[in-house]
Amino acid sequence: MNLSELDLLFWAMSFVANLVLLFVLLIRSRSRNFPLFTALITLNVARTIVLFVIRRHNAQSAYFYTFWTLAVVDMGMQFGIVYEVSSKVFRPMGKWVPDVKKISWKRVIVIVAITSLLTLIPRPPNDSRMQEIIVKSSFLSAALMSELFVGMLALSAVAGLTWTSHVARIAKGLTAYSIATLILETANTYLGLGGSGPVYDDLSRIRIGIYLCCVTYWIVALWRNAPPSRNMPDHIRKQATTISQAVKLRVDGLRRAGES
Amino acid sequence: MTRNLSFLLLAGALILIILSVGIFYAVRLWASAQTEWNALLKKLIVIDRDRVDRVALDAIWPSGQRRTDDLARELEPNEIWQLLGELDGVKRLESNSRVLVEMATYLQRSYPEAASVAEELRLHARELEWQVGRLGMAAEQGSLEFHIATYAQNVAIAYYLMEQRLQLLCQQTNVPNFRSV
Repeated sequence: MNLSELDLLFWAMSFVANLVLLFVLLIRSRSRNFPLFTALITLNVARTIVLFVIRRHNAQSAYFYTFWTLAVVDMGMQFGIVYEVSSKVFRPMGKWVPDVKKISWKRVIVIVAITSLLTLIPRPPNDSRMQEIIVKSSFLSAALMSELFVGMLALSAVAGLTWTSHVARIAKGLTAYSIATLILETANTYLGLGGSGPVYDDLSRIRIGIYLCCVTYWIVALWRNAPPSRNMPDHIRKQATTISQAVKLRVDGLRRAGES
Repeated sequence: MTRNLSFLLLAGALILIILSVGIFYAVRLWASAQTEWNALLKKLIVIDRDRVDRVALDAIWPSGQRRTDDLARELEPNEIWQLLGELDGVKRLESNSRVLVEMATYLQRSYPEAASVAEELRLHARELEWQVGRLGMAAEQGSLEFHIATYAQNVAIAYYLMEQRLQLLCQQTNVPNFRSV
């Protein structure tokens, strides 16, 4: 389990980037609004430390199980973040909007079923059954995550819901990362882990590179405050007074007509 | 074709679909955020509001409560349909409702304190879209005449209430009202 200098550099950069992001989340009090996102970043920091310690003791088996166990926890938390983000977008007044209740669950089940069936097709060259399960489940979770984020984006656009600044930034980063992961996992599933070590390593480095870009984006976006509300131009304000008065007269007339 | 190649092609198609849908709706959200108030006003289609009000006030009080008096729901389905300008007229209401949702979103962005009214307005506009969708489906299935009385009147009610909410929102935020158009 020898890591190249490039791998160590990526590892160190991820650790530092996650640590800076965690610092930003805490110091700018974003963790109050995004507790699950903060927990995920904390997990990433802790994971780097734990895996580094295990690697130094050269415990290959422990490294493998810790790595994949934490990957499962990571995935579970990402689904949690989908809930965290959607609860901010689709619960504007503290109550889920009817658009969410009217989601066609049949359609959702069909999409999940098609995506799941897709994983049954390939027979990637893997050394063990465990490797096959790992690459296929990684592909499935990446596909479901991408579908969830894009579905959320589509539903909010159709329903006319606004994304507040920080929610939009977090969702944008996660959507980009999940789609990039889906592309990389497709390659992993196609190539398999058996005998394609260098390719797997290259793809992993690309994934870390993309993740670093996302973390850098979050650090900048979450450090900044949300843009202030825009002010209406004066000419619009002047129009308003005249028109509002005219409308008020008309509605009062309607009200009288209805009550008579 | 091998199974792995089939997988690659199908997964590639899935990625393309996800990317296309994502880009389409991201652009739509971005464009909506760039639109200014005057541009939204220009998007509104002229409709005969008195006719819409007549259909709505046949079933509700101006306050929005359902009428239970003897004179409630006197209009015949055909009258409702004519007053609303048939399916084209209903489509115009739907089109306007989308613009009104964008107006509510615009005001919500500019004046977060008016969020509750903007949300009420959005809900009415969505209700209207659903009702119009049902009418469209009924028209396709040839069962329109059985649904006019309920769906079409609900469309008018939703539109009427939506306009009221937007007017309230305009008053709260001191911006020009859409009814000037």
